[in-house]
Amino acid sequence: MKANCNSLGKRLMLLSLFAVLSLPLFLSSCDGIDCTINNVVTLHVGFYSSEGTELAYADTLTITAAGTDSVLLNRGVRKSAVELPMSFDAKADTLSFSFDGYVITLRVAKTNKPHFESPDCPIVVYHELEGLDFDDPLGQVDSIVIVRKSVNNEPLENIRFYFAD
Amino acid sequence: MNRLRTFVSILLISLATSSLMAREHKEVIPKAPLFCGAAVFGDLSGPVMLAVGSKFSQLEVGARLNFRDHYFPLCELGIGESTREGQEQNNRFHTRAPYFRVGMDYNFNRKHNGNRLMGGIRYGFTSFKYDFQNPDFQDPIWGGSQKGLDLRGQQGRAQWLEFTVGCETKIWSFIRLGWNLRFKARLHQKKSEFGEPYYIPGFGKNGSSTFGGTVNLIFDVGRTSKKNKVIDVSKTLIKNNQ
Repeated sequence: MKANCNSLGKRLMLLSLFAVLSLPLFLSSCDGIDCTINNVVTLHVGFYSSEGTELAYADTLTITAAGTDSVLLNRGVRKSAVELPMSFDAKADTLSFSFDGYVITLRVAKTNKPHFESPDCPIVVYHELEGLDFDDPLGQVDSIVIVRKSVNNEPLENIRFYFAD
Repeated sequence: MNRLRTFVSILLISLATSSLMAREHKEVIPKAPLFCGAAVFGDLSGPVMLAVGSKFSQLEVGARLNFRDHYFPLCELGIGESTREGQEQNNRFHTRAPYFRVGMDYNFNRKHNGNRLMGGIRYGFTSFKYDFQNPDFQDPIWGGSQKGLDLRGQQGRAQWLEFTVGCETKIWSFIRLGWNLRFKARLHQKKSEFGEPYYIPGFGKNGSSTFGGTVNLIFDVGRTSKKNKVIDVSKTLIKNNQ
């Protein structure tokens, strides 16, 4: 019986030794860079008819960031929704929506809040929408409304365009 | 979910081993005294992690009581630290704070021979401050430079549960060596509005769950260390059987 106990003790000692030696490997294997896959914060804009049904706009659509040479969407076709990056620092962004034959200019006022996830991941900037106004010289749009103020990395709609019939 | 499955597998293997050990020794096991002593212990893995420059480490000590050589109510306290610099982003995270755990271990080994196969549960909590800094960064679409963050003293708080499995053995007289693996499930955290901490002292890398482990050097104090009464009971029985 004593022999059994001793051999059991030796086995446990070996197990302990194994654990001590393998623990650093075990712990290091748990580490990794796991940034959010979709770490781009975008403004989600949806297009609707005046009745509120989703509208896949048949014309080509180009969206540019006013004051820059950045094209956010180049000749998109049959788009019912678009995702647009916002500026990190500015208090308001001006976006130019160029449909075939007319242009709608949208200004969005916002606050900006930097957000970190991990030392290995890039900083993202969240936004809180404070208001908007738009220029629509040809009267193609009934209204543009904010449906969700928080702009973060959740894929939820923020702004709706209601087009006139 | 994969982490939980792995831990449950380890637990089942341990319990199966315990069951086999019990079958090997079919003699009647005497009941150990109600109070079998106390012990203090320290984690050896923390200083090793600190020495090898790990991304986070902890210095931890604890104390426990021993009832019937099966029930071990315990408390653990330590200091957790992490200083982490991002490899590509030049971001920096830092925290150093104390943490506390209370809980209980159960010894599955029915024989009182000094070897113990332990399973247990802990409740851990900590309140800490953390810093996050990053350099200026560029806006690739709209142009311009965003001033970097220098957030110091962000307040964090966390509570979690730990499920442990491990074993320990007597090395010499009143000294034991033991290890355990831990599955940790975060119950609650309070975080800064600018983002959650990369590391929670005592819990580990932040997430809904994580794994951990300790290698403990254990010192029996009091009744067990002076008289080894628990082991004496077993030896007496062995003599009687012979």
